[in-house]
Amino acid sequence: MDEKKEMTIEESFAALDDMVKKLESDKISLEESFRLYEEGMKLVKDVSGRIELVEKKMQIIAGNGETEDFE
Amino acid sequence: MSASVYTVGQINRYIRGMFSQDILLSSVRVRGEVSNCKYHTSGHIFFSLKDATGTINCIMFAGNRRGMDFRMADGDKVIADGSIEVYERDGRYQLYAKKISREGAGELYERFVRLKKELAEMGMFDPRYKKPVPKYAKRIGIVTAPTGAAIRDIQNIAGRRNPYVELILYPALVQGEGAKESIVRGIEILDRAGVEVIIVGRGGGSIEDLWAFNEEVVAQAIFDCETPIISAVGHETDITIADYVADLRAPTPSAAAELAVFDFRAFKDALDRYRTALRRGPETKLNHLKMQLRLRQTKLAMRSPESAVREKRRMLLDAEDALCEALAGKILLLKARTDNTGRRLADGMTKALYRDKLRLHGLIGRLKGLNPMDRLSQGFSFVTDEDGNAFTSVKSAHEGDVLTIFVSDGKVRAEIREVIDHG
Repeated sequence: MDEKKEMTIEESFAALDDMVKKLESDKISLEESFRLYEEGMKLVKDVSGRIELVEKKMQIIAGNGETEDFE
Repeated sequence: MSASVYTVGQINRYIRGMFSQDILLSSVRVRGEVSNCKYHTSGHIFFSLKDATGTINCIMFAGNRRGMDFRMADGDKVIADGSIEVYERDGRYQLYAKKISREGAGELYERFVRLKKELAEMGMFDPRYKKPVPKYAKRIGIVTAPTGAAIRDIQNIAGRRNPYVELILYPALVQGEGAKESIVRGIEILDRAGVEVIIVGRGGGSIEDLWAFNEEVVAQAIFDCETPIISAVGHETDITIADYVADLRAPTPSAAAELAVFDFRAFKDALDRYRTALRRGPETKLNHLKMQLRLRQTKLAMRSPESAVREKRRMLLDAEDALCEALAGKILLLKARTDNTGRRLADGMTKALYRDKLRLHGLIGRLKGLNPMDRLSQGFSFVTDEDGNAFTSVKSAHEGDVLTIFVSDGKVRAEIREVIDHG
């Protein structure tokens, strides 16, 4: 699961959907359910960490590619 | 020098023949301003076209009017397609129009239709070239004017949905001279700036105002852009070439912002839901296992010797309870009966007392009737002699004796003047 770091937010959500579905099935063992839980929580934390909670100002980009604050 | 003389008809017919052999005149496009425009009841349109230098009479037959999507009026600038022919009766030439289109808007529209068809044939609108617009973009490029409604709307909506995304504006010229080049440059620069999606657009305006978004170079730049592009030109009803080429068309700049900027609250809610669902997984499993364990414990416990003794003890306790209950019931019954007797006794006494009370009231009433003072108030008085004895007979009365007369509110002392004996 090394590619986890590469996953986009959408892919992470898809992976989480998959885990939840597995968790909800009867066939899963207790050990497996704990493993999925741990893995899922890590993924949730990872995804929420992707959103940098810093309010962003609008930037203005000039012809040469340089940016500065707008307004 | 010819001596031949021709009739008017011959001359006109000759000239008509000359006109009809002329290749240019048989199919010509004439630009001019409409004047003297009359829609005849027959459906034909009679009008003139003029410019600064002159005038030409025109007619459009009813049969050619199909496909004409506007009503011509004086002052309209139009382009008439048709032929120039001679009308023999009047000896005049005129333009027989087969098609009339409005110059300006009409011409632009035709260019639009032509370019749209061309680009469609090139496959530039093909869905297979459309790139998906990422749902969780964190850096969003915008190509629009730095002033105006579009950028304000986008900023407002982005701020409301998610203040954590980064908006990068390329301040473009969106109408007039240089607009298409400016838009193309904006797309190219933002494509290299590493944004995840680009909004290209502007607010509403006339077809001329929006025209830059119908230019082939702009369409090409959108098509070539590696980053997904959302087009957002004008209002819902304005559809430009850029809209057809873009990966996603938003009806307005506000709608584009909603498509590009993911809703942070929805994102947070989704994460919370996953947390809950994940936690519930092992919990449910554990609870299920615990329940199964408890069930087996109970079954086992029921079969132990201890349990048998406990069972007997329970039965004993139950019997004791039943006994106690029965006894208590009996006592209650007895008590109720005793209470009843007592109540009847008390009732008898109350009745006797009531009877006596009534009798007493009667006596008081009667006594009241005997009160002498009551009589006095009715005009009678009570008279005593000087010793206070009731004065009842003339036999004991002498002239000069003093009597006391009691009336209701006091007494008077009176002297006897005369004694008259009726006896």
